[in-house]
Amino acid sequence: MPNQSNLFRLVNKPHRRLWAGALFGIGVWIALSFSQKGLSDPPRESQEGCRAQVPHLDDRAYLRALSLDLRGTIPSLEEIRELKEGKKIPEFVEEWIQSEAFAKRAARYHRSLLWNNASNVRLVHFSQRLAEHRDNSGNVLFWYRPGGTERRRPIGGPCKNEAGRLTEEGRAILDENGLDGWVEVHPYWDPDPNAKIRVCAIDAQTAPRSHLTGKDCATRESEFDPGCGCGPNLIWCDTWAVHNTIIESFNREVEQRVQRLVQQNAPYTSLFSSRLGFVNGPIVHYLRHQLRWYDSVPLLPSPYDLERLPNLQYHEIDRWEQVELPEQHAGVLTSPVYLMRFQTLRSRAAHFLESFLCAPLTPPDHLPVADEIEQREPDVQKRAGCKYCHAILEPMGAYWGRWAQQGAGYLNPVEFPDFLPECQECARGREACSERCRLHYLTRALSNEQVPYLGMLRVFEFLRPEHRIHVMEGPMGIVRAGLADGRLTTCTVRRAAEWLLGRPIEASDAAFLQSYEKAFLESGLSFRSLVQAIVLSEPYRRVR
Amino acid sequence: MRAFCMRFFWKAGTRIFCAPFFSTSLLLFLWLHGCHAQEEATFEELRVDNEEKIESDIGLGPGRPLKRLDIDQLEASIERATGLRWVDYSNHSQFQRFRSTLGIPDFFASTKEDLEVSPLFLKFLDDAARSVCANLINQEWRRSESERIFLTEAKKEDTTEQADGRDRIAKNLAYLIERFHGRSLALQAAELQSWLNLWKKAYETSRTNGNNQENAARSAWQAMCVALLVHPDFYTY
Repeated sequence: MPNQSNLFRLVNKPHRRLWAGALFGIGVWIALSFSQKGLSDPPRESQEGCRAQVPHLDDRAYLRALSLDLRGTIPSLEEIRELKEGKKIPEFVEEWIQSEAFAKRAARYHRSLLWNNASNVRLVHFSQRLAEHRDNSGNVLFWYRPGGTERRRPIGGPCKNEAGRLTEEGRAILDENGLDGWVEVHPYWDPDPNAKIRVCAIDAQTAPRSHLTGKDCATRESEFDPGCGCGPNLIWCDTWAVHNTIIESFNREVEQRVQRLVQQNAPYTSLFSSRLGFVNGPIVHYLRHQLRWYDSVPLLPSPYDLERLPNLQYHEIDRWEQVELPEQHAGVLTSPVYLMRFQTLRSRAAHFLESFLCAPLTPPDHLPVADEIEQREPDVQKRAGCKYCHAILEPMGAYWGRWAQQGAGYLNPVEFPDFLPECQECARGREACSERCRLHYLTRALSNEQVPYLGMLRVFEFLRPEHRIHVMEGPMGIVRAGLADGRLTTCTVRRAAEWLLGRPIEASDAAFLQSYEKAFLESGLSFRSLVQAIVLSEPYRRVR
Repeated sequence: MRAFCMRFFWKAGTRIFCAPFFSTSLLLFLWLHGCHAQEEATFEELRVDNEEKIESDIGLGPGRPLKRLDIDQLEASIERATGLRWVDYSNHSQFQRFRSTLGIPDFFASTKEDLEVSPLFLKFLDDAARSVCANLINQEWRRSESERIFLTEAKKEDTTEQADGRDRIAKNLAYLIERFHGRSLALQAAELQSWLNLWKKAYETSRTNGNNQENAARSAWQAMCVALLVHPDFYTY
């Protein structure tokens, strides 16, 4: 008889009342016995006219859930038929978890851990941004660099709306008023080799050096120099669309790494240690031609080996080529997007603690408020009201101490020693501070306690001697520490379970979490095995 | 279960026992399958046979809530079910265009994906369903019988007024429920009857509005397509 449990079959016999009385008594006893164990949460019952809600998924619904979580889409009719014909659920899981679709789902999930979006960063100097100049009807007349119109001093503004010329050396020919006209250029971002746009001659100059100042036009040292343009095919300039494409490429680059890790079933730790990186056309173009035209967040020194970049054209956006990263940029924690998204040492550490160690820095309520004397304490590791988080955060941030803040370059100990006398000198006001000192060394002391740190790399300010090793270890140090105390694996399991179960983890999940972690560890930290363990477990199938 | 219990004991003349019996049975059931799940019922042993629709439980341990499809899953699932994407006139995905409105975090302004079945989500799902279904039915009406993916059992001119037409429509609806929701319904199932009634209502409304038989059937099928896509069985799992 459908819709009947064993219990109902049991009571569908003579002497029902006797049975009922006995069972009622048993029921009361059980209720009293287990009232402490949270068993008063019965499954939802069906209502008249509605489908019964049972606290589990039948095989078809289970298959559908698995397909959606593992591949991002519903199963096909053929797959439903295969299930009907006896193909087992674990066989589907085994097959799907090896698919490219699962690797993409895993990469999508990792967005919630990595927060890989650096779209607030301007990669190319604002004076190199090309924009359209339109007439009153909205028709495009020509392109020019609105952020660099000082190049047309004293007049400023765009060029004249008439044909202009470049010399053979690639210099703009100006009229008696110092104004230029437009010339036709093929822009590098257009895949059509015959496409041309009109660009003001000053902005379209191709000469590698300024004929006025001798400065290198391929670098920021020539900013606002009227003798420098955007280079051949405008390669040193960008547009809003180009900027967005390049940033999006950096955002997606770490997802390529996650996809590859999952496809190769590599240990999860290789996410933090692998030297495997990816580039596409826009990234290659940026690294080759625009890296030294940085704005406020330089990717210098380059996180990629510029000599070994593949030959990709800008418009090859979906073509990803594998590259070997420099040792200092192995793993996602020193990827350009992570360093650009989290620009301070503290934010890099805080995000890692929260996402990968499940150890968010949340202060308790009613922290003591620093009094007037306490507020003068410059070391936040000691200051009341601050130290609760910063006593942890400062040493953790030191792991990223050799990666530029507000930048993504590695500060190698040869070019950037722990202490630089010239930076100490400039801090004392004896000479002007170089860019190297200004960006990476402590050159200002607001209190006497900071004075001993003048001329030192910023990371060393108030850093305890026992934490100095963190600077040498780099982010792999925090990963190793997380592995050693088990927090990294436990947190990876917890986050994956939260993703697939669609809810926060509770105390009652402890036994299942342990079984997931066991599977994860026994598989050699295979992310696939972890996901497999979760989706084949009862809690995943038990839907309420 | 309560409804079944009521009917059962009403007949037996022992209605008075229904409520305590229900409580007792429930508690015993929970005890057997929840407290002693590890000893008495493994996951595999309690696998459900879909065809017989046995409603058994796999215990009372930790579970999960019903989840809503995220926007990428929704987009891919609509494409798998209908063969079409929700696009604008330039063939750009509308789901991607509205991704931030639809709760996909950018990890700057928002860091958590909104997976609520909000009125806004339902509004966009409805927009998507109406757009995709209009295109799908247009295509189906142009396709030969062997090329069709939606109208695979019924004929374009079938209505519920003829017995064989009604059977074919029911069969087609069962096929669509399997295609869209992954559920198998017997042709006599009460749930399928509800879908059939909806088809009939849509058909009659269209006829009342002055459409001929084939156009009214076309409207009814389009309504079915929309109903299948905006149904919770489609957007939750």
